Amino acid sequence: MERDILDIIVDKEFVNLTVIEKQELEQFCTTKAEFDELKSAVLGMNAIHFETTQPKAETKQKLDDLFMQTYPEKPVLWYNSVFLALVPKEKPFYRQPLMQVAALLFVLFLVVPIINTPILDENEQVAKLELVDADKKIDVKNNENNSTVVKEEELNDVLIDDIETEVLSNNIVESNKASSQEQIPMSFASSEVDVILSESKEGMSRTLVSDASLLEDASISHDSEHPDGIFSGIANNRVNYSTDASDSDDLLGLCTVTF
Amino acid sequence: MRLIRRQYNTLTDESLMVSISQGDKKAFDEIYTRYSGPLLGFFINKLWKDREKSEDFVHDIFAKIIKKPESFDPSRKFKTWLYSVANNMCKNEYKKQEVRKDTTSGLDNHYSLKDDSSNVLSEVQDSQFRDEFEVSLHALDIKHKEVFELRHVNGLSIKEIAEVLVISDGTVKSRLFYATKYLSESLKEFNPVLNR
Repeated sequence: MERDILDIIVDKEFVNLTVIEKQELEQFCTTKAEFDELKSAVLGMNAIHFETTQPKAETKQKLDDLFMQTYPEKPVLWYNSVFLALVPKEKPFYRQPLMQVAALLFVLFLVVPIINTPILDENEQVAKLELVDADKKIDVKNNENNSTVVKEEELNDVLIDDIETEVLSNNIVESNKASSQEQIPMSFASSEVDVILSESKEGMSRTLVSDASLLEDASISHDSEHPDGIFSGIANNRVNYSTDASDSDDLLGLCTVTF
Repeated sequence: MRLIRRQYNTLTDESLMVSISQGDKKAFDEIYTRYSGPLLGFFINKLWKDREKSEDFVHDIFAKIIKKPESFDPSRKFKTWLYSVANNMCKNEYKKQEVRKDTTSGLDNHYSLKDDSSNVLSEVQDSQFRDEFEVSLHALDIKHKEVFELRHVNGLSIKEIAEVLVISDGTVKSRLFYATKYLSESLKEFNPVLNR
């Protein structure tokens, strides 16, 4: 209840009344005696407690029924509750739990591949030619059908253009074909040559693996004319390999300038 | 899905009305608890102690709240609006009846008067006080009586009474002080209850 003049009469003494309050009471009391009399009457009335009776329970029951008719309760389905919890209408979309979970999953989707990417060894030399130890590196596959398989692996740290690599591979295959057709004796021509081209991790070296019988007869030399010292084919029953990069001052110089 | 239960008894009447318009049954229960008793007393006094009619009027006014909650003007105070509606219902009833019943007493049997200072007054005195109070109130003019009841029984302020009865604040104050003084004089013998 708002405070009004009756409350002021109860709370204050006549001497404490403001000018405005006195003006308001002017019609009813002007002296202290009249004020005290009025105050006493108001206090007496306030002391009386009026107990009001309550309506019958039937009245409330009727109103409850009317309320239920006016506002019928909709059945609550569990999935509706879940949906409301995940997508509350009262919240902006960026504060809705479903949107927040989706955003988190999207961030994880972006971050996980980055975490799984192997870190490159910075100390790894970019271009290094290694002398191929044919005896150790060559692995002869004694397949029953003596099929030829070329296996090529590329290292991430080798900074040779893909095109150059492809050209080199083509050269190798072509050389291999030429060798097998023109230079390899007939004894080798009848059997398929198993060629495995592999690239070692340490450097830019390529190994041509041929049939065991071929390799036994073929001697290894480093007289390739290729500037990068790459295998250049089989000639005169000889497998030509690159010269070790460390042996070539020109090549090392080139690499130093390049990288 | 509300994790924290709403404390309806702390909400204002106006916010409860907003909840009612959205079909909140508990809000309606709270409003009913707050005003059903005082309204019944208001109607009983206005409708010649007719308890059954008063019950019907209480039902009708709450039914109106249920069916047409939008009829409440949010810019107004709910309590004032409710008593205004109740007062208008009584006026309409007067028109229907054309002739007002002559009430025998300002306070009917459904009202019970109780003095808080029961340690001062004995039960006998209390009974005597009740009788004397009813006689004195009955002797009051209807205009003064309704203002007095709205103030002391229904707990409305002077401003609210003025709004409900569509009269000025000054008129309310005048009637109220007159009724208070009159009752004070009439019940002077019941010292120290009224003359502390």
